[in-house]
Amino acid sequence: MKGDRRLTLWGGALLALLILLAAGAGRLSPADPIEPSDPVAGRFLTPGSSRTEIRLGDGSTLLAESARVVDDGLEIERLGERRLVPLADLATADPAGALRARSFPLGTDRFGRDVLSRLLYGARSSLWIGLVAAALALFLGVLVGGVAATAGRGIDSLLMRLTDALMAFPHLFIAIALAAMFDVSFTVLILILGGTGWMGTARLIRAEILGLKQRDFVLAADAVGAAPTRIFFQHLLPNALTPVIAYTALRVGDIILVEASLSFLGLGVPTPSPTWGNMIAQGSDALTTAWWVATFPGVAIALTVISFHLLGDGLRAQLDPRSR
Amino acid sequence: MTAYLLRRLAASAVLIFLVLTLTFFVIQVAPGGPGAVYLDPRVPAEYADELNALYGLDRPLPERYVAWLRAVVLHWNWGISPSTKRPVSELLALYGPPTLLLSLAALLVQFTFGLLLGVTAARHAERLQDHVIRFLSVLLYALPAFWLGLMAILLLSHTLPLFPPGHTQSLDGDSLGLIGRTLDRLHHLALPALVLGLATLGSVVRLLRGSLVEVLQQDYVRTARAKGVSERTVLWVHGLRNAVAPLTQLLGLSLPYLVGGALVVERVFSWPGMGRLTWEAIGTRDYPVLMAATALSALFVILGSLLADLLLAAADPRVRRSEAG
Repeated sequence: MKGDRRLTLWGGALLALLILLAAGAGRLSPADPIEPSDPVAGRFLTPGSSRTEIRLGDGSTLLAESARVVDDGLEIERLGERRLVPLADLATADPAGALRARSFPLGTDRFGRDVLSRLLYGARSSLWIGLVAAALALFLGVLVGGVAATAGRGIDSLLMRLTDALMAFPHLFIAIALAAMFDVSFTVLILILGGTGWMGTARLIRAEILGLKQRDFVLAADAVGAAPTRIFFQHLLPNALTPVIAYTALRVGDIILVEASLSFLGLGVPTPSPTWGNMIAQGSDALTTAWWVATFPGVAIALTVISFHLLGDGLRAQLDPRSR
Repeated sequence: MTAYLLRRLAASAVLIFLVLTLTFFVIQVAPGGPGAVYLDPRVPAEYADELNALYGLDRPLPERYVAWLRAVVLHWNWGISPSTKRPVSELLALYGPPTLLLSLAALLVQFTFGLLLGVTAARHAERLQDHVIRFLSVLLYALPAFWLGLMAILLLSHTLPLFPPGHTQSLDGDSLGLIGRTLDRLHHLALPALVLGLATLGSVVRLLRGSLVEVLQQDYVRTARAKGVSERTVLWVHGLRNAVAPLTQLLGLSLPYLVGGALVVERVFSWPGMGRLTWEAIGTRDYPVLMAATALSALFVILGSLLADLLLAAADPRVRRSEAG
C-alpha cells in the first residue's frame, strides 16, 4: 500500500537523522556533556540563553553575561555583578583571545551542563543499547523459536512453557529485578534487556515455521529428499524471518522505553554518563524551576520510539502481502 | 464450557508454578546468593554459619526450593524481609491495595478513552479524524509514562493548580468526614490514573479500531444498514459486540504494561504502592521482597488474562468450541 510505504520512509528518514546526530555527537555538541563551563553562573540557564565564556589561566572557565576588554584585563558582568578579571588570570596574553561566545539553545541543568550536548550524547547510549539489545533478543528468539519448531514435541512444549512463563513477567519488572542484583554497566544493561526481550520473537518465529512446514514448497523439498538442515536454512528460516524483522524494529522502541525507565529509576547506565532517562530523573527534582531539563529528553525519547514504530509498522504492512 | 474452564485453569496453574520456580532460581544466581543480605562482612564466620542455619540457607538447594514453594503456595508465606524484619506477606497486604486501586482506575481510563477514540477512528476510517487519532495513539505509546506524569504535574498541578501533585490523600485527609475523605482520595487518584491510563492507551485504540473496521465490512453490518438501522446502533451494537473478542484479549495484553507503568508512575506521584516497596527493596537489597514483588507482578498478569479469557469464552461460544479440539 502506498501509505505504508510513505510511513516506512518517514520512519526510516527520522531514524537515519537520529543515528547521524548520535554518531556525530562529538562534533555537533556545542559543549562538553559532563564538564560544565561554569557550574555557578551557568546553572539553570533558560533555553536560548547566550553567554560569554572566559578562559582562565588555571584551565577553568567563567560564564559572563557580558565582557569587554579594558586596559588591565577584562571587565565582566557575572551573576549581575561587575568585576575586573586581571590580565594575569586569563589563559591568553591577548584578553580578546580568552573570550568565546556560547549559546545554550536548550538551556542548562542544575550543574550548568548544556542540555543539547547531553541530549546528543544521550542519543548514543539510547540508540546503541536499543539496537544491540534488540539484536541480542532477535538472536535468542530465533534460536529458541527455531529449536522449538523443529526439535519435536517434548522440547517444543518445554521451551514454549518457559517462554510463556517469562512473558508473564512485565518486561520492566524483570529488568528492574535483574538490574538491582548486578552492578549495572553498559554491557550488563544490554544483556539484561536483550536477555529478557526475546520471548515475543520466539513465539512469532515458531508460529511462522510451523505454518511454513505445511506449505507446498517445503513439502516438495522434503519429498525430493533435501536434508532437514538444508530445508531449515534454505526454506524455513529465510521466509520466517521476514515478519520477524518488522517485529524487531518495533521491539527496539519498546527496549528504548524500558531502558529509559530503568535510567529514570537510577538503575541504568551509571552517572555521570548522560542518558535520556537519567536526564529526566535529574530534571524532575527541579521541574517547576527549570522545566526544560526534564522536558526535552522526553521529546527525544518519543521521536526515537515513533521512528522505530513507523519503520516497523510500515515494514510489516509492506512485507505482509495479505494486508495489501 | 466446563472442559474449557478446567483446561484454562490447569494451564494457568502450570504457568504460575513456572513463574514461582523462575523467581526462586533467579534470586539464587544473584551475586552472593540470597544469604548475602543477612550477612554483614563484620559478622564473624561462626555466627555466619549460625545465621545461615537459622534461615535454612545451609540446606541443599532442592530442599530449600520445595520448602519455599510450599510456604508460598500453601500459607502465602513469602518469608521475612531482612531490611524491615517484617513478614513479606504483611508488606504485600500494605502496599498491594494502592497499586491495585491505581491499576484499576487506569484500566477504566484506558477503556473509556480507548472505546471513544477507537470507535470514532473506525467510524471515520481513512479520514481526518482517523488520521489524527492514529497519530495520537502512536504518540501516547512512544511517550514514557514517567515523563507524561512529570508533564502532567507541571501543567495540571503547578501551572494550573487543578490536581495535587502526589500522595494518596491530603495531610489532613483523615480528619475529613467519610464523603470528604473519599472525594479527597479520588482527587489524588485522578492524575496518576489518567497518566497511567493514557500512557498505555495506544495499543487499545489501535486494536479496537482495526477490529471494528473489519467488523463494519461484514455482511451482517451491511444488512443492518440496508434495513435502516441507525448508524449509531450499527456501530455500538452490531460493531462493538463483535469486536469484543479483541477487546478482552487486549485486557490480557495491556496488563503487563499497566503493571510495569504503575511502577514508574508511582515514583513520580509518590504513590505508596508496590513500586515504592520494590525500589525500597532494591535500595536495601531485600531479596525476599524483590522476589515476592516480581512474582506477584507476573501472577497479576496471569490471573488477569485468565479472567479475560473466561469472560470472552462466556461471551463468545466460538472460543469455547475452537479450543476444544
